[in-house]
Amino acid sequence: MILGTRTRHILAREPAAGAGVGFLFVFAFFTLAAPDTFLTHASLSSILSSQAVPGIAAISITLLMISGEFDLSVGSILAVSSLVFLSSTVGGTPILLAALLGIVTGCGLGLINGLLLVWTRIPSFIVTLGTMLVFRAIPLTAVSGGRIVRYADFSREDPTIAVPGLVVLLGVSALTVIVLWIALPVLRHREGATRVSAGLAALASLVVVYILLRSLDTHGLSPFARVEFNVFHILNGRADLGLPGTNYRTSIVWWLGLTGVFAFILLHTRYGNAVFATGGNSEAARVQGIDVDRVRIKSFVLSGGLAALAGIIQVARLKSVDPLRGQGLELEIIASVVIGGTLLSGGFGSVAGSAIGTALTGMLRTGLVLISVPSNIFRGAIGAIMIGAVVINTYVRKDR
Amino acid sequence: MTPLIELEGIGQRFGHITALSDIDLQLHAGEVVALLGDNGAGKSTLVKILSGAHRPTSGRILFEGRPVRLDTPQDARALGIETLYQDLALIPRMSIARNFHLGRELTRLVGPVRVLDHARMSAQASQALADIGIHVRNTDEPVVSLSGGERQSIAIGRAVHFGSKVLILDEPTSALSIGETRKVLGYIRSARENRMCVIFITHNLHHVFQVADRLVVLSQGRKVAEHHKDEVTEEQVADLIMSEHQELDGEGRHRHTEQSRSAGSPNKGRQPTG
Repeated sequence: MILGTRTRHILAREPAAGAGVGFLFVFAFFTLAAPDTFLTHASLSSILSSQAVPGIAAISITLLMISGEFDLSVGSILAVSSLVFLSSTVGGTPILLAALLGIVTGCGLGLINGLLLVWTRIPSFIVTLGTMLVFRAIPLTAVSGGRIVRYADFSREDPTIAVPGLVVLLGVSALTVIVLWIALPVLRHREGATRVSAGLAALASLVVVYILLRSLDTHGLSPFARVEFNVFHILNGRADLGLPGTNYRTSIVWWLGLTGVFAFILLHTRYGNAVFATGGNSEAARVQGIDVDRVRIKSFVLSGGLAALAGIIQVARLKSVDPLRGQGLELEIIASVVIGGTLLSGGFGSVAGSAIGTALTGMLRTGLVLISVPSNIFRGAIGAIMIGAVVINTYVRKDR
Repeated sequence: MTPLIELEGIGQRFGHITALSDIDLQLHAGEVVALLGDNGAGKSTLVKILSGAHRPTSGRILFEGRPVRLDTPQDARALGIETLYQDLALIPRMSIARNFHLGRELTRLVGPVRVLDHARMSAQASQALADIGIHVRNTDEPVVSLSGGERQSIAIGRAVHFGSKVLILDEPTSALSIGETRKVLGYIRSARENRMCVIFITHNLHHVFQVADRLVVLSQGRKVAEHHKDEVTEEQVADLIMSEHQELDGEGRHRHTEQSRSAGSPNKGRQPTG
């Protein structure tokens, strides 16, 4: 036994602990290996901004993996929802309605996955392998011949929503109060990961408040004047932090905020408890009164909605959808989630771990370029790290 | 007196395999009934029907004189029927407190949302376990870190705490020390004093004669004997369980092996993949 029992105990209890340690190692490595380029706002901002979308999709994979299921169709769901969002926007649908349509599409496709799983009793790996191909056919047929749907082809201006200043102020205050109301008692809770995510949620809400108040400020802060918000900017715009040459985007706030919200859902609601129970031992959960099929369907619907949201946030930055959007994303995300400490067999894991795993993946992608390693090695490195992470986690959790 | 539970012609088939046929049984409040039989006799299947985990293919169940459907475990729990399953039905990586309250978590309102009340669940779990003599170091500890006997104690504690009318114990003492076993037999007696009906499955006839009022013997999915404890001796009961087995040689043995396959752990739910 290399580690002390106590250390091993903490590592075994906290899914994100291993990923956190690995993250620090990789971080330290690149800081030393590329001292002038890695630890700069330019590279850190690009890492975080590029990982926000996979990070949000990783929440959806984590949720399902904890419940004992797999979702290979997440990239396809992201593509279909992105397409629904963008094409209804350019077709004249009000932007918020278009976003809602996109999310409903994602939930609907997730529902199909869930119902197929529960009705046929086919393993979700097979079900979602099938739906990955089926859902992918939608953008491939709708957007034929290598075309790309571009927002710029239809409009010069980004979509905006105009809201009375008073409503904005009230909405923001209500949101902050709610988040802090929930987060502050949780901050005092024993479980470390929970505390971290509650802190992140509180922080994210404060950042949202700050961004909104600043954009209000530029409009003179009159409570009755209508304030225009650039929707793409709110979803995934470049945040002006007064640091030239950096690319911190608002999507990072969405990523962290959603991570906090789902960490909370998983650890502090009956549904979250049922997700862990279903993944941990579905027959035991069933005889203890949990409707495991309902939990599975609910998780797939939530997961589809999250994938859609990730897609919409990505569209807000790229302003286009190509039919192959999100292809190959699922495997990279599964790797990040596994690196983050979530068990492939279900019943154990955390969204905070997945956020760390996703950040680690992004750090590796950028860091390898910075130390002049051919970028083709990136996937190989991810694979090696994933296997290493699983080996370490298995060693640490030798508690049966 | 109306029986608490009355089974009429209960049968259970899994495909073309008959696990139980034509079971008639009356169970009363304030009595301990031992359910006996060789492996694969249908004891666990019968228990799963009573706890709502299996839906019987024929027959009907009366509870306090009214016909009821026990289609889901939730239905059984709502009637005050609590079960200790042979495999304990614990989630290994979840904490003792979370396992204790699984499916009936305590919540409180935090702001606008309903959240789990961890503090109250922990306190209630350790209190309830302490009440029946089980002392756990820390209810936040995952069940996977406990010994077999400790796990069994947690599962028994849960069933005893939540059961209000019927307590079904499927081999409750298999992993327990002599002292712990004595305690469990003690709970069974006190449950009887509290006018509960206890259904007790075991292979240990010695335990049966210590606590049971009545003995029901199953063989090959049928009820083959039903006696008051005072009517028979331990040897006679052992012979009953064994002899039924030998009489049905040939075809009977064939049927028996099929039943043990189906009645052992009929896993209706899906296994987690991956």
